[in-house]
Amino acid sequence: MHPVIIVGNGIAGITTARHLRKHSERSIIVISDEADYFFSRTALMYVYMGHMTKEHLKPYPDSFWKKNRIDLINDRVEAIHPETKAVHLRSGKQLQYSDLVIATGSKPIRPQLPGIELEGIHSLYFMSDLDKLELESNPPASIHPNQKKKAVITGGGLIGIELAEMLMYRNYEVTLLIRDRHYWSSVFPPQEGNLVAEHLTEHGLNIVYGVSVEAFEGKDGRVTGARGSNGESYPCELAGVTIGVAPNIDWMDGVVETKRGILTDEFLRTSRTNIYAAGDCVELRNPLSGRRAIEPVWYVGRMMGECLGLTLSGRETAYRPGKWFNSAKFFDLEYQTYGNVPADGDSAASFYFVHPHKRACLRLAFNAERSLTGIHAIGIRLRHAVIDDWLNKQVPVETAVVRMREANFEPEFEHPFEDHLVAAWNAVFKQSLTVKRQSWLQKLTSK
Amino acid sequence: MATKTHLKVNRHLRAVGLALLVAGVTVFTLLPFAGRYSFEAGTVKSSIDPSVYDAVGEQLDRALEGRSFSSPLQVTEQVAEVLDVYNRDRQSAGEWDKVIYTSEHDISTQLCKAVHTGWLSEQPTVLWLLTFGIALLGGLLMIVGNGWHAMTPGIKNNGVYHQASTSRGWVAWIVFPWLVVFYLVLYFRPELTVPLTAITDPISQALSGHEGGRWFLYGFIYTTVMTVMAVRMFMKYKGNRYQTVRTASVLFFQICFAFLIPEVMGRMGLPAQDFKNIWPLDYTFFFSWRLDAMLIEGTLGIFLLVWGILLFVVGVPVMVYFYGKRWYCSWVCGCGGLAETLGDPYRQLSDKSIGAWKIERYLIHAVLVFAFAMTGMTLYTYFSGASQVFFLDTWKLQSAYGFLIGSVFAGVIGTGFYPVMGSRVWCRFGCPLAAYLGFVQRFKSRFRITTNGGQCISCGNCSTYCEMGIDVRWYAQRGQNIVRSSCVGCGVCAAVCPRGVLKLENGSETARINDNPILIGREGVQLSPDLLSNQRTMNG
Repeated sequence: MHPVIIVGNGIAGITTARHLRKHSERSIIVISDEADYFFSRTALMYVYMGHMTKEHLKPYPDSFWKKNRIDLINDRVEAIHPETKAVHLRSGKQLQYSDLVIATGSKPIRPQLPGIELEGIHSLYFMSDLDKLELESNPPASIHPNQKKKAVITGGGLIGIELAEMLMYRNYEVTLLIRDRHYWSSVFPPQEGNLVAEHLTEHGLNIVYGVSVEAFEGKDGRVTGARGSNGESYPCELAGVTIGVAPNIDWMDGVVETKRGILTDEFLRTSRTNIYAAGDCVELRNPLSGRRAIEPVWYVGRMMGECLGLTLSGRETAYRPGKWFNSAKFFDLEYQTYGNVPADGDSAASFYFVHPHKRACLRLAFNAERSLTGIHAIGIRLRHAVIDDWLNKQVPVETAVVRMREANFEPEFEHPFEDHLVAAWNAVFKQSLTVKRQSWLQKLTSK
Repeated sequence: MATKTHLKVNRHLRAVGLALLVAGVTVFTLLPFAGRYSFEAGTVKSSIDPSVYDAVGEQLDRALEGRSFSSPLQVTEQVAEVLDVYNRDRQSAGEWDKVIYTSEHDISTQLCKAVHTGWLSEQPTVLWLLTFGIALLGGLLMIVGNGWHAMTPGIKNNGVYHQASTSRGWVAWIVFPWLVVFYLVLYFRPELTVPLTAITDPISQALSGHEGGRWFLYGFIYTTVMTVMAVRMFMKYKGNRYQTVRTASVLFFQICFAFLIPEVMGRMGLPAQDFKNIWPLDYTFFFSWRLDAMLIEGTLGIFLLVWGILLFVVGVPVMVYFYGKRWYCSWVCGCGGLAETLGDPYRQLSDKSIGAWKIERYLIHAVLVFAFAMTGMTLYTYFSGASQVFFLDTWKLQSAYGFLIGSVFAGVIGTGFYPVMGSRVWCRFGCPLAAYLGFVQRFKSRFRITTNGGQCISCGNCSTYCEMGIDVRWYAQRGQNIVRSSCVGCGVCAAVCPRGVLKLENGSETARINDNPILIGREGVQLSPDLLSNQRTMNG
């Protein structure tokens, strides 16, 4: 029997391989030309900032793969031949598969702007992006404190902020150009956007709202500035383009049915038998209500991998995500979200709470029946299991307010905020709720 | 917010601080080679133990009187020659009870202490300023200059792997041998510390009424370095109250329990005791000289004895059951205190490989067995009077333990290797008390590090910054609670996690160890009712 071949060794491909191995003895080959081993893409920034080395990026020791009989091949798939069930590799090799998994993830979107081909314009997605950035940017600030240069980043999503933090560590004066009126308006209501922006500004980031880049200016083939839609020119030695990602599927044109991504059903089957897809490159034909067809986040890739691994081991498992969750970090400010919080911040259907002791906030969104539908938590850590349970049970939002202690995942000794939360709620909604709590003795001996 | 002027001032502060630190350490390092040691008639007699003088006094007088030496090691050479001849004669005559077991280094230390002269040693205050004074001030300036612009709450690990000091670069390869040599001298060539103890003895005099010698010198260095590095911890982990409270706690126990209280007890003529030191880390607790000292002291002595026994019989299991071994290792312990302050810049250098974990388990439990065997024989000898059990000699076993474990492992390797192997080498591979605490933590405790649902992104910050070499990410990315005997509960994995995935908690034992972990996120993948109610009640 031919092996299962997985194209791509990111979180989706590797999770597929791991779960397949857990439940079956089929032989498994993973092909990637990005890196020899699976690495944590989300942590590339920490290597650039000197928190970790590349070695630390590997979530599993090198011996793991051999022990689990997962063959890793550093090569590139150039063509798929579904009729003969074979893939053709750049090295010239031809491999037969019994099942093929496409897990090639995303790639950063490069807008067709004048000057986009200039040197010094960076994205942040692939390992090679990190290498290029390392090569072309300032060495660590601690070594050359006087090389203050300017950088301009366009695109105010999560990766733009990561890139800004990275470059600021390397002693760049960074300007972030954002198309919207407030930070991350596709997700954040204005209050959250402004709270995060305050934090970013306090750390020295210049944010310009309502401006997108129309062209890059250059000299001798190198970028020297960015021209904004407001007509202004922003000089820079380095530019970042982080306006989003798109499924990385150009290379396999025509093999399976695609739209923006590879079209799959809920079992992650493509239009061809024995070819599956998982992760960022998937576009679901029928996403669950309230969910998008393409969800390029780490957790979705992992969950799809779990399902596909099970399916390929003979236990057909549909990809049915539970309540949405995601997380991010804006410089020193952590963000977690659960369920659905409308970005327009409709005050009739949500409650916004600011932490009294530190820069942090919560937003509880609820529906017409006053059931909790979603939470934003910035600067406050919440307990996933408890919130997930509340959302699944559609508890009344008041329940979440009085029982927030159960969901508190802050480090020990952190300022408690639940009393303030309830007081703020009572003030807005004219109620007299109280926090329920146990005594320290009950806590110490709880079964 | 950091302005340009701030940054510039900070840079100057750091530069000046570094210069002062290097200058202070340099003076400190050169001092053992300064001064002269001149012997006049009668000095030998007045400076060494009478019993030693009775045996070899005349020979020593002949070898030393009227002579002047520039190095304590030359004095030691003379002493060694005398001792060699004397001991060889006694041995060949079969007079085993007359052999002198006091080492030439200890005798030489007493001699040098008595005769050391030099224009500086008459000026302990000036010397203090030139060593401790400027080095501590320099360290403080470097710390303040690092943190001034970063006083916003948050994790400050920028550049850890870009700095030669914290990434096994050239600075580490200077600091590492320096620390090793320092510990070797402290333990095995005490005569070289004589010019240094001249600095701290006046302080010892003031505190306890007598000269504390090298152990007071070491305690003073230990405590002051911890204090300065605790300031660094407060700044680095600003915004994380667990880190702040924990650092304040270890500092408190070091200053009061390890440093001040024993001095004051000494002043009152009582047996000095560090009340928080627990057998078997405190491996001499049952040695006859300690037992005798406690037993002749009456009520207080009995209290000390009972307290010391209660600590490991009742204190350890009860406290670890409720709070995990962290209550001791990262809140109270002196070794832990140094690791969590001076050692913090090096925490990421611990080996995370499975091989290292294997070595850890063999080694630490071997030391635990060694400690039990040695103590068992010590007690047997104490009560029966027999110095041997079968072919094993109690005294030899004690010295072997003291040399191998007490000095080489805990000191030379434990702290000397900070810059290359991380801050917890001793605690992880060697400490018998940590092994004992770890058993309780693993098998009967309410402590665990909870993994938060499905939020882990496998970034690896937790594993990188675990000083105990635990691959925290391995557990976090599969949704498993971390229950490991070695975890000292420093809380740094939770602090550096960028997604709020880890939390140190004490709670119900139900489902504390989840061997079939799940990651929340998909339908059909739900926590069991047990696990969910466990999560619910965690904060009460």
